[in-house]
Amino acid sequence: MKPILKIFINAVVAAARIPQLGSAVYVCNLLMAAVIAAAFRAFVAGTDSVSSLAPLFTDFDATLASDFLNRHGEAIGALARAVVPLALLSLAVNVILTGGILSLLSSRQKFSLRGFLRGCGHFAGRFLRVFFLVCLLLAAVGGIMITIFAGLDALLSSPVTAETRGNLIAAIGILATGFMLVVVVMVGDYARVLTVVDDGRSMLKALWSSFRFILRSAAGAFGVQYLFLLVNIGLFLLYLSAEWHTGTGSGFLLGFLFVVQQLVMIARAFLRTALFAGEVELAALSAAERLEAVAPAAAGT
Amino acid sequence: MRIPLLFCTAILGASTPVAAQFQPPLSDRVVAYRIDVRLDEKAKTLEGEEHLTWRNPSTEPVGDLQFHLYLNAFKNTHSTAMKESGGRFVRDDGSKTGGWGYIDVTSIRLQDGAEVRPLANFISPDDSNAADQTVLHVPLPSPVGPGESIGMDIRFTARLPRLSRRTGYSEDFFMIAQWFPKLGVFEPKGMRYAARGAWNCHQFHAATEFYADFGTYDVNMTVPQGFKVGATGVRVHETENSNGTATLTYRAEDVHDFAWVASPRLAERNDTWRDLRIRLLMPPERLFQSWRHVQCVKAALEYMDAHVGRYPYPELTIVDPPGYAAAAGGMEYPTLFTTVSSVLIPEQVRYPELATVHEFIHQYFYGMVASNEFEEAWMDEGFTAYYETRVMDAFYGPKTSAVHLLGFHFGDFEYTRFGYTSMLNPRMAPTATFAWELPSGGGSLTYFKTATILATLKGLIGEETMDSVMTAYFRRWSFRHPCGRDFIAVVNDIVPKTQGEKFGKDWNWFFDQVLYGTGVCDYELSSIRISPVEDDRGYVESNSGTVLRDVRGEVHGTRRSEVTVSRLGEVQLPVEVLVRFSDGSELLEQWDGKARVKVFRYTGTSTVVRAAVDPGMKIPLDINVTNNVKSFEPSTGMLWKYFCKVLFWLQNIFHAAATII
Repeated sequence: MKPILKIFINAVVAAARIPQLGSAVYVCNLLMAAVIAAAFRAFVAGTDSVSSLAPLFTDFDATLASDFLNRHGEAIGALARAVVPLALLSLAVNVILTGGILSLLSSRQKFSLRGFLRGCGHFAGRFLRVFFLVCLLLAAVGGIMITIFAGLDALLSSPVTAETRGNLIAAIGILATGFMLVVVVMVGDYARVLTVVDDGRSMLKALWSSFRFILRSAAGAFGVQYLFLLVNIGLFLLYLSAEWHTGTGSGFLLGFLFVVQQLVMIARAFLRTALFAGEVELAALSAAERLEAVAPAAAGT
Repeated sequence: MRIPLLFCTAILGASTPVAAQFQPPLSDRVVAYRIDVRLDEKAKTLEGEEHLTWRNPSTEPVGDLQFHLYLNAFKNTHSTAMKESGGRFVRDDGSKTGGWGYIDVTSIRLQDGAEVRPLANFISPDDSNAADQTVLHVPLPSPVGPGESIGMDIRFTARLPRLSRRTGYSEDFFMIAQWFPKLGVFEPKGMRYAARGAWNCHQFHAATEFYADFGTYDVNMTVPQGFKVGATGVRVHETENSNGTATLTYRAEDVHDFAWVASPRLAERNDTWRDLRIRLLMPPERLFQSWRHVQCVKAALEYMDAHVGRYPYPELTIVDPPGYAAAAGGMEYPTLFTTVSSVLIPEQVRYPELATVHEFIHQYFYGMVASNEFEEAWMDEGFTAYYETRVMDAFYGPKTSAVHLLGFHFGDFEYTRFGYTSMLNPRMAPTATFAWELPSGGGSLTYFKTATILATLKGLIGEETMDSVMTAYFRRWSFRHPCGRDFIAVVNDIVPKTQGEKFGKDWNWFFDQVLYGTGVCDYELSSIRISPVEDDRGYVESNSGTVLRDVRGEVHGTRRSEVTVSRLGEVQLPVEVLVRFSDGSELLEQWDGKARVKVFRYTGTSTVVRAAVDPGMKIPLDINVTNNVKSFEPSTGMLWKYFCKVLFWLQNIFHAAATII
């Protein structure tokens, strides 16, 4: 098994070679978010509270914020509700974009808009089916895990030990459920990779193959997945630290923070593409290893 | 040393071998209770004998007694508290007794040997609910003369309810409060609102607390050995009995209630502040955060000592009930209170501190200044909430005292004011309403609006004068029973001495609006208008005599600025308006706030660029401060900041969702 770090580096290089892929993910999310953010800004600017809210520029002020919400809570609520359809739309677009990304990464072709869009269109239906199946799996696995740990809590903990043993069981439950949900996410990811590689039509079969692949290549698959997860978490913590220390006391600082925010989002989009590249490489590597294992055996017969 | 229980009880019950804590007494000690009580932890019952002495404090003979039997609120679905709570007052624990509780007074024998229990009957002075058994009326064979005392021995048994409100048991934790036959308060004519001498003894309501006379308590509590006990007062004796029980004797002076807690699963931490012993009882798993309670209670002691008055008792017991007994949390009793906590609450979320500080301050407003919690709950809860915000904000920072986590922060006063300003209907009732008559959600008036009223009073008269008012109030009314009128009298006495009559001869106008009225306060900076100033027209005087000028639109270099301030609410308060001009100068205008609209006009080469009503936030009662400012100065920084924030977090949400699925 190739060292995970090398797969990670190769994946990042592969994603960087085709920057259009990460850019597509970034731009798509940016546009969706910008619609709501701009509507929010326009709404606040149009209220008669805008002058009073000026101190919020330098620091958060709970009194101003709460009075504003008391007065304009309904409108803000309507804006917040508008996030839901946009989030669904964003999900659908991301699912479709994945077809183009994976087809380019697995074919190792140079970027062409036509090729990218062809990939998007070719796999759109199948990936949307994967998306719905993964949603169902996430709900099912989450439900099962919660049931198991609720049962364990009822069995092993009592009101008297709720704060010690109960909390421990809950913590283990959260970690275990998180782990299982990551497995489902990985199954969905590799199902898409295998579908692109094999151009398969049955998504149930793809999910099953993906699950078997993950079991077979557990070390690599989990290693790559968790390495990317750690990098993402690190990036996020780095951002929080930057925001914490920067503040927004002036226009310059605000501009600086905006640049940092968007760099973080660009990095996240590229990491997403790189993860796909890593998964494609791991799948190809595993297939090659299997071929090598089969070939001598075939030669021997 | 093991001593037979009966012998021990007899010795302890028969005498009071303890030196007095307060000499002279701090209160007039109308009552003296001596109680022997045994807790059966398996049956969840109490068996008690109470020797009570009551002195008639009035100038007229009193022919009856009235006792609170609070535990009967948990007796059945007919009790007033149960009806008011919609049946949620008792939690069914699935046991044979179903979580219900009651108290049964089996005997009341007067000192002359007369048994008066058969004469007694239940009364329901508040709602005429004949089925409510929380007030026992006992006619006396002969009246108690003015200044005379009457002694009696009372036997009672009680079953503790499953812990749901303030009292009862949960697993092995016992919160034993409102557990013994407790006399109401006989209010002589002229005391509080009494037009004639009468008992003030309300039924137990779902949303009210308590009211009782000051006195002394000598209580012997017999519990299983190994139980940790915390109680009102000071422990003066402890004996292990041969039957596996232990008897603990507590004495409390100049208090008006006695509560105790018992459990085998409590760890103890002791600390001191000056001469005061601080005793903290909590689940062992939470000991690691005991410092949080100790730190904030010391801060509160320091602050209250400096700004209100001294905590005079020798001991303070803080109980942090375990999670399974959380219903016992957040309640005050004399020299003992329960707080709220959890091992999961991080340091930056100061809910445990907030609860501890709040319940401690009740030692002042409830414990020492013993207003009637039934009738004027705002006087204890509101005053306590007000000082809670002052202590928390002073110690942890005004904008960070409640939560300060990952850049998000808000202060305790902000939280308290929000409790009022976010009410669905802040006009629902006057704050000074009998607590049990307040509509649902009315607790926000009691706690949050009162605290905001007091903060507004402080804003208007200044912190120094406010402190003078509160120290005078504490000095005059500690160990007594003031009413709202008494507090207002102190304000009317102190404020004119320091502020003169700039707010009027008294402050009744203030309290009539904010305490006894239902209106809200909302001032708005409605507009700033700038217009050119034309030359005078018509027949005008000049050096060359009267001339006709009639050229339209001839303009000076000057401009006219009009700042319009409106009163949108009903409440009228004096308010400041800060006006800033284009040359950088500022003008602080004073307005009596009475008219619906007030226009400030300025003419000059410099124009108004910004105006703010109540710029110093002296009137936190203003229910909407986001209409307080108008400005020609750009506020785009704030708009872009929140545009960036919303954009970034939405991008993250969309990205995370896409990554997961």
